[in-house]
Amino acid sequence: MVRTVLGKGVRTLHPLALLKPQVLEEAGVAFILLLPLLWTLAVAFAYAFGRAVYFSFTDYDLFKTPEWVGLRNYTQLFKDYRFILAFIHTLTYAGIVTTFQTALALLLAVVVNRKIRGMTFFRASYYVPSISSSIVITLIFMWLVHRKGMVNFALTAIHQYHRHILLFLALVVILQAIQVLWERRHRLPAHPLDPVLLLISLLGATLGVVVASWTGLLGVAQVSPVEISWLTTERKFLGIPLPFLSIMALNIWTTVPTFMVIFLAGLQDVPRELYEVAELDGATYWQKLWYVTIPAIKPVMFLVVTLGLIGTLQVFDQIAITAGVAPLNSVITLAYYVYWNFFGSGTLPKVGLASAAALFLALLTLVVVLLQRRFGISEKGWYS
Amino acid sequence: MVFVRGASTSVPRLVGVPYRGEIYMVRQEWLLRRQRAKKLIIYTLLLALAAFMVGPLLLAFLSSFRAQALSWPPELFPPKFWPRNWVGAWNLGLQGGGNGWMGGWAPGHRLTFKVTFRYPQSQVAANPPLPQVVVLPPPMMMGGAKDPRPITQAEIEPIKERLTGQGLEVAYRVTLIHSGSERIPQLRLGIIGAPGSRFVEATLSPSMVSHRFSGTVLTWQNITPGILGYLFESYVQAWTTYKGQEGRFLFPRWVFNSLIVAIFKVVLTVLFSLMAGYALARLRFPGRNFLFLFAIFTMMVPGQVTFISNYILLRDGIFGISKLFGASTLINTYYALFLPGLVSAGSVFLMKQFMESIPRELEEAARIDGASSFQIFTRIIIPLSLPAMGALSILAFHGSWNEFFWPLVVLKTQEMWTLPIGLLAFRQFYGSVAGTNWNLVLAGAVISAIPVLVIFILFQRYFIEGVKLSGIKQ
Repeated sequence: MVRTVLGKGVRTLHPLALLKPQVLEEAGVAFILLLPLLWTLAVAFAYAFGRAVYFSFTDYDLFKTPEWVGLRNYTQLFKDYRFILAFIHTLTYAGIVTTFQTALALLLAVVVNRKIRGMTFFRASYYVPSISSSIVITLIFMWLVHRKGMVNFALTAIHQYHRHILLFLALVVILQAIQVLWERRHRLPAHPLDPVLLLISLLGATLGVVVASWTGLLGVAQVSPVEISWLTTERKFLGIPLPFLSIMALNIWTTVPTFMVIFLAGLQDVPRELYEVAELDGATYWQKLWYVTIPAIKPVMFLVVTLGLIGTLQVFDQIAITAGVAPLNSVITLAYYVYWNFFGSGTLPKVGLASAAALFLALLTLVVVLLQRRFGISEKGWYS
Repeated sequence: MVFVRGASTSVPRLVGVPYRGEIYMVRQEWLLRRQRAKKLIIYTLLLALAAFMVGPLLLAFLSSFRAQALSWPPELFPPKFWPRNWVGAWNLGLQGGGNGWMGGWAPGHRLTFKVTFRYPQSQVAANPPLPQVVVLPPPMMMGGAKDPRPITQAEIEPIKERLTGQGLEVAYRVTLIHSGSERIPQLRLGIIGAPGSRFVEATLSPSMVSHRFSGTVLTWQNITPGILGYLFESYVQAWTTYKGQEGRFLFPRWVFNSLIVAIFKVVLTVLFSLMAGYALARLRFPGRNFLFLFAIFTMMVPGQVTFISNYILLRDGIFGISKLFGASTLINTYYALFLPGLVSAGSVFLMKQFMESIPRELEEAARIDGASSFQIFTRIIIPLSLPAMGALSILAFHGSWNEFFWPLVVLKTQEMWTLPIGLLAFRQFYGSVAGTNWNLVLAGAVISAIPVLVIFILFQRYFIEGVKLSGIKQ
């Protein structure tokens, strides 16, 4: 990665070369042009990083003179129930969200990577969740998963009509099976998901359901409305608090399009010949996807997983926006733990503790990214 | 071989289709039909996916026109979209404020409208009592001044009765007279029908109908809205009901703040990225590689590590320098949004990548003509970098408009907030768990989303290129 990042034509310059006037002029201009960047790197980053390390060994609270306390902040962190919770949450979040967003983004990229009319429109519309701001998306999400929101309404409707849905699916399968067998008997190469037959099956199943409900054979189930308060409940699913799971779903939905774009760029770089050879060998669609596409875009996948991990380990916005409603212990992550100890805990800012937690988060990011590089999806593609 | 009926002269063409290691001979139409059906299915799936990705935003937009954004069943075609109500809104706006578009309630004006209740058979004999007309106080606002309480006389009289199968329908004429001296932007009204009665229709559909023990309560958020005031009621309310300490509307202020901040951010980002990008792409100086790698590295470190120090830095006025300009602290100023991170490594990276694609020959020719590095920068590189500057402007605007974390940390008073932080407070005020004003929150969210959507539709390519180019940035 480093070599591609640095680009071509890079030569290192020995400091003594500065004695030449033309080189000196060039270096001087460079220095002036670089001043804003240097300021950012030196003050907003290096100095800030150094101070964070320093604060993490003190009991600073924004007002008193910082006093050296050694490793006390770090030991305190691991005694803090909330910190352990935030740590576990962060790892769970990164694991689940990165997995899903990578898989779904790849799937979506494969779906939109075909040349048919109107595809630009579809690609653009899929990108909408990614361009909207975290606050807009999260607010709309909070409205959707409200106790009286659309998600619960849809769930109630599904529950009410579950017999219709089941009948529909059963009819589709039965009709499709009958038709495929019939075509096969007439020596026609009908695939189990043959599109023409599938359309007929869908039509037939719809008709079946309509007739069944008209004649009164199939009634709407009497169920009590689903009224889960997704963001405020203390309920858990598989040991993960429901509010946290909801936020994960939200984040997967908003990040999939971004990674779809990166995957799409990778897919368009896969040499066509590879597919042609595979086709000659009689590979099916899924075989081509599994044995040609995925190995070929491994470097892109590495990039996506790395970016995904960095992004998810540092998730903050969605947590901060929902934290006003959701129970803190259900949604707290490391990034929010840092902020909360600084601004939100209602006492004097615990600068030392917050700094220690922030450094822990930085270290965690580094370790996870390095581990994934070593044991996960590596940068090297099969064909590179 | 099968012949097509009625086309005995033409022999159907057969094509071989490989399937599961065998070759089947099928008619060409058979294959064509499959291809068409497949296309249909693919388009349907693509559309379904589009609905899933855009749907929530679309639902939020539609629901911002509902009077109650959380009521079940969710109406996708709320009364605000009914032309009948547009006519009513226009007439009432004209009568109440002399303005059919935006309405209002002006002194000396008088307005009449019709409302119909239905009484069940059991009540008909008992001669139902007149409904009660109540002029409601102006809407709840956060802090600051309130609109004056409307001084309004109300009368109600029955004008028509009709016996139907379900009961007796009585139409009433309501007359309102403004007897005060102040113009009021919005007149809230309630009409309470007898217990057990049902609302049938009105000149303007009420915002809410609730059946209570004490009676059937109809409420109008604004009985003199005018067409635009009615259709965009949530938007007008979001824009105007949230007042600050000084009694000025806060929402427009946040939009303005966001806009100003974004414009400055764009200018600074483009300028500084041009400068740094050129130096890193073209100029030779010691430590160049190290500097660039270091810049890339900073993007990996979480903002949580550096924000504490940067907050303290700004609080102390950047080593006390700001005191020279009369400000003891930079917290809660717009300088705080720009000063620590003047330029992001990501945008420098984007600019550098672009400049490396500019042919070197141009610069070499200029250098032979005796141009200095600075002249090459201003005369050759900047004009050639216009496309990258465009892309970067779009991305910087987008980033600034949507930014949440840093403004949340440094902007402390309501008047200084940018739109994302304002929306957060909006949610807390109007959309609390028991809150009933989610339509205002949704309207606010839609207003915030519109500029980004417009820019995205216009400059889609730049967004996509930006993601690809700064694949490293997150």
